[in-house]
Amino acid sequence: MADTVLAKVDYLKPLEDKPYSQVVTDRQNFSSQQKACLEKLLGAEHVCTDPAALDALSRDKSHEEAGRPCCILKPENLEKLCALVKYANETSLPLTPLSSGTHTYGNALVRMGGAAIDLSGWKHIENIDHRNRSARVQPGVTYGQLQEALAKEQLRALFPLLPRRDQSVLTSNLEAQPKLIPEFNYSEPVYTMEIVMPTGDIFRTGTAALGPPELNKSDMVGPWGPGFDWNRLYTRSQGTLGIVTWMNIMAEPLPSRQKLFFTASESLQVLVDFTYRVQRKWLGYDCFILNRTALALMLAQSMPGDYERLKKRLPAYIQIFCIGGLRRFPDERIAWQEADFLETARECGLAPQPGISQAPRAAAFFEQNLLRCWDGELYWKDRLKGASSDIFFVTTMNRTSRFVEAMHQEAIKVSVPTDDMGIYVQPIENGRACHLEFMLPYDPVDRYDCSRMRNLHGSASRRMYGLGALFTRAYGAWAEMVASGSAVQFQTAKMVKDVLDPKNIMNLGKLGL
Amino acid sequence: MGLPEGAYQALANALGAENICDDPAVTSGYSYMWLIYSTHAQSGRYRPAAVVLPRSTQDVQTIIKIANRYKFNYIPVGTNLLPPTIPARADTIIIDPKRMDSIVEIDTQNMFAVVEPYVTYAQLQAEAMKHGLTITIAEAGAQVSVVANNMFQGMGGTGHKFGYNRGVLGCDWVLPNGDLLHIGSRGNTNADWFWGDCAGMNLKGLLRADSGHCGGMGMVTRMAVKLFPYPGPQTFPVKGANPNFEVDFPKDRFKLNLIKFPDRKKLIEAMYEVGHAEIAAAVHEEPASMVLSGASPSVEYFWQKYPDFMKQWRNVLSVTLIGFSSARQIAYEQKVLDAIVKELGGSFIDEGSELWAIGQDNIGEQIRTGLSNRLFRIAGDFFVIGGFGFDSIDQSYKMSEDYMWPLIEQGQKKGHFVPDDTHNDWLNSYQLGHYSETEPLIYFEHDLDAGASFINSYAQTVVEAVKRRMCTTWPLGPMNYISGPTMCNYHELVLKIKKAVDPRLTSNPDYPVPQEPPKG
Ligand SMILES: Cc1cc2nc3c(=O)[nH]c(=O)nc-3n(C[C@H](O)[C@H](O)[C@H](O)COP(=O)(O)OP(=O)(O)OC[C@H]3O[C@@H](n4cnc5c(N)ncnc54)[C@H](O)[C@@H]3O)c2cc1C
Ligand SMILES: Cc1cc2nc3c(=O)[nH]c(=O)nc-3n(C[C@H](O)[C@H](O)[C@H](O)COP(=O)(O)OP(=O)(O)OC[C@H]3O[C@@H](n4cnc5c(N)ncnc54)[C@H](O)[C@@H]3O)c2cc1C
Repeated sequence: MADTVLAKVDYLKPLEDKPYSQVVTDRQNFSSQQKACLEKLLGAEHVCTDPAALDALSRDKSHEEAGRPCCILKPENLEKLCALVKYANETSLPLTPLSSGTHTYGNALVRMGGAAIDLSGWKHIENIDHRNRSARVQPGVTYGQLQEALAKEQLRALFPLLPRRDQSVLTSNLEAQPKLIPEFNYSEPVYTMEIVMPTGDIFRTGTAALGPPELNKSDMVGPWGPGFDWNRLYTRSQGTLGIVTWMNIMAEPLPSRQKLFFTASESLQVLVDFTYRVQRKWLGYDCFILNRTALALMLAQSMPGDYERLKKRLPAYIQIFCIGGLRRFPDERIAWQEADFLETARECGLAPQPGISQAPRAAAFFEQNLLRCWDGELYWKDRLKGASSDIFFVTTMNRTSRFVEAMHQEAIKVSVPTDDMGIYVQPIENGRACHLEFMLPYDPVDRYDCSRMRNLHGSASRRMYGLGALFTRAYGAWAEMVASGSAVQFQTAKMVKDVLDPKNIMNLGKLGL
Repeated sequence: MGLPEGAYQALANALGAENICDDPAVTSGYSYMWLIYSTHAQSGRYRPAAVVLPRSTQDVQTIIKIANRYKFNYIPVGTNLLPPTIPARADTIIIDPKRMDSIVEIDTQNMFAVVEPYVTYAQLQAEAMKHGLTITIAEAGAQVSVVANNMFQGMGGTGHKFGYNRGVLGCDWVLPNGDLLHIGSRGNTNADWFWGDCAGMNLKGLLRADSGHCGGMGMVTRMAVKLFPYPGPQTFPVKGANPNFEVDFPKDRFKLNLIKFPDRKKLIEAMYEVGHAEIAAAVHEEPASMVLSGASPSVEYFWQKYPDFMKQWRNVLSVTLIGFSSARQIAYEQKVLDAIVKELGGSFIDEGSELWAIGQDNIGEQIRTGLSNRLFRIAGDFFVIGGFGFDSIDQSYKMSEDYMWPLIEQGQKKGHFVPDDTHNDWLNSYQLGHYSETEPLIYFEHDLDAGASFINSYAQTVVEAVKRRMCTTWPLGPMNYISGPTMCNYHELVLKIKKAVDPRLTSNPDYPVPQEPPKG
């Protein structure tokens, strides 16, 4: 019989051939050496390892698991940023770029170790070109800042619905947040951008590729190419393919005057049919539908008193529609569009009004806020319970009622009151598609409410996906859901990621990669 | 060298012997090109080794997988208008989609149509118009494939309102490795075709660029394309017989304006003003040669008229207004246009004048394009000295004046190109003037020297552009080695991605970028 050799495990011997105290010291040395290298590269004041700051970044407003960066880096300029990315390639240091002050959907969490690159301090509006209707912005430029500058040039930024004050314009466009104006010719508003590729090389899209802005003799508004549609590939890539350092985006003529209409209905379907017709006629600017909850969250002067009162009184759904006059014959522009709009409403048996009788503040509120950020302390979606869990995707307007019904069923299953669920329907490209968003308020400090909401978010997202929802912005768990639905797509995406980010350092774990 | 041993039989077994052919009488038809220079320099030398006729996406996957296994090349085509559809190597087959010719679906509410690759614009538009919808048709003509044109360019008459490179929604795309990639909403089996952006990484970005990949990235077998509102009659309102067609749109909804400006700069200003005012559906600078050749019933007529017409038809902007919503829209837009024209010292060409009679077809051309075949009649060959580069309207003007027209003048001095001193291009506004593209037209004989002059001048526009760091002409195949190094070395990234999805390099191998820079 052969001798049986028993495995010998010496529990006392450290795994490395060195005492454990040395292991600890080495780890500390590694961190401080890394810090020293980064400080040498960027300057000490641009490397932050303050535990409180790191903790603050380790969670966001989503249900995603926490993740703590090893440091927060604030490179001062493009040159330093490129050097940093090259260093990260050499040392396999993962990088997650951030531009906004508040992070909502888990896509800026440093989930798999590494450093956060905070670009919110890059606040320059590099250029405003009235003639070519463009504005070139750095990552830290906010909507308020941009609109103030554009208004002087009789231009407007293309706004999403009441963005946060610290929302980066650049990331809003990079993430393709839906805009209030469904005009086809304003859609896909990115002309060109500058990207620090995962290798640390600089790439510019469209005609910006012809050279750095100071040498480039084009107007940098040619959005396609070179070689591929990089703008499209990078849109919604969540930092997995590189860091965008500026973006040249559309800025449109600022209407010299505008006129708002509110059309109420108890049925979403009725408003959807009406919106199809209006959009098919290519009328107006801003156009979107809110349910009473979303509207009450925006308009309530106090919580929960005024909110509850409003919710009781408001019609179930409201379409908000805006016509604008431009430089030449502004009143006549408004007049013909108004006539056509009202005629269409009559055909649908609807009666648009200049305000909402049950909520007298509404007219003035929207008059002022279509080109403004939310300026309250607490974001409007969070006002009821402190936080809101959002589910949103692209679909077509004729499918929205089916999604709403399914969403109600999911909420009822876990006893979440459906009348606190906000709904926002944003037509896209003259109504050929729409962004449908559900807002589910919850209390972020109540663990029971959090876990219930996390479950609802998961189950409802899967239900929506099953009904054909297109999660173009595949945040967090959505990424895996969509990846598992399309193997070739996922495989091809990985191939692209491997080509562009050979060392796999950019925003690890996002998009399911 | 033809196909590797066994390959032909494998294809015949998979598709049926009647759907593959290597008879020279058939394959020769795929080896000649309207552009004489490309025919002689490139094809003519090579007939395709065979032509295959798939019926379905699965057939296309089969063909591409067989090509990978036996290692031969293939080129997917639409109606073969583009020179890169002719083989430049002997062991190449053509995937001709003639049997894939159905309009699969029209969603009238969400304004899209799903088409197979052999559906033409004329076919699709005729169906769409029955539902009050239309599509912007490439100047190449309504006879081209909707899929091929959207894969390649898609510059249409009504691009001012309907955009450029904005037409593609969901797609079924057979990658060069034979995998079927669903683009956009097709990626969710429960959604349908309505949207083009993918969930997760947006691989739509690989489908094409400012122009397409010329078959170098596999084959799209079904595509949903955007349709747009159309307030006209259900049947295209054409009267008369070839070559004297006339369109007759309802006047309260469709209005053509032909406007002469004192100089080209004023015309450019007008284009900007029209864009900022957000009016009109089609806005183009229309050069004399193009307008007259489109309207000429015969070559003789053209040459009799041309010398005088060239003097009279200068700096003409064509602005087509469409009342998508109502007659009120037309009335308002006309008022704004009148004001702009007055401010800039322009004058309308009078309806009833001789110039109007020649130019009036322009409105039909914007909506159902079909004149480009007529451009070949003047001299035998026709093309543009450069173009297909997109940036601002100002940039188009600058490209044209700084280096395109000087190159045309050189060609004219050598006697290669037809005389033209107008300095007017087919200069186009896209998406309410957010961007633009310009095409200076040249006409030349079916002659190798003139052809060489054309192709060299075309390549030279890329050289001149990158030297000045201005927007370049579309760099065809090897020309990417001229533009790439100045433009962030994009050609290297393109090659890396091409190799990743086409490891055996079987999909029209020299496109979008050849593996090696051209010699010399
Ligand atoms: C005189 C003239 C004028 C033109 N004017 C315009 C214009 O105004 N606007 C404009 O947009 N274009 C214009 N073009 C270019 C035109 O876009 C293309 O030639 C057009 O798309 C031709 O259509 P086709 O069906 O003949 O395509 P093809 O020539 O057959 O194919 C075009 C390219 O796409 C590839 N391809 C075809 N089908 C597929 C597929 N299913 N999947 C993947 N790749 C595919 C082919 O390999 C080829 O390289 C013009 C061309 C000419 C000759
Ligand atoms: C560079 C080039 C090379 C070509 N080579 C060939 C070739 O080798 N062989 C070949 O067969 N064709 C070729 N064509 C296409 C051919 O010119 C057109 O398909 C054909 O000539 C159109 O008919 P027409 O002459 O009556 O058109 P035109 O008189 O010029 O125009 C007719 C009008 O009707 C529209 N129209 C065309 N077809 C339809 C339809 N089915 N239904 C409704 N409306 C329609 C057109 O868009 C146009 O507006 C080529 C075209 C170009 C530009």
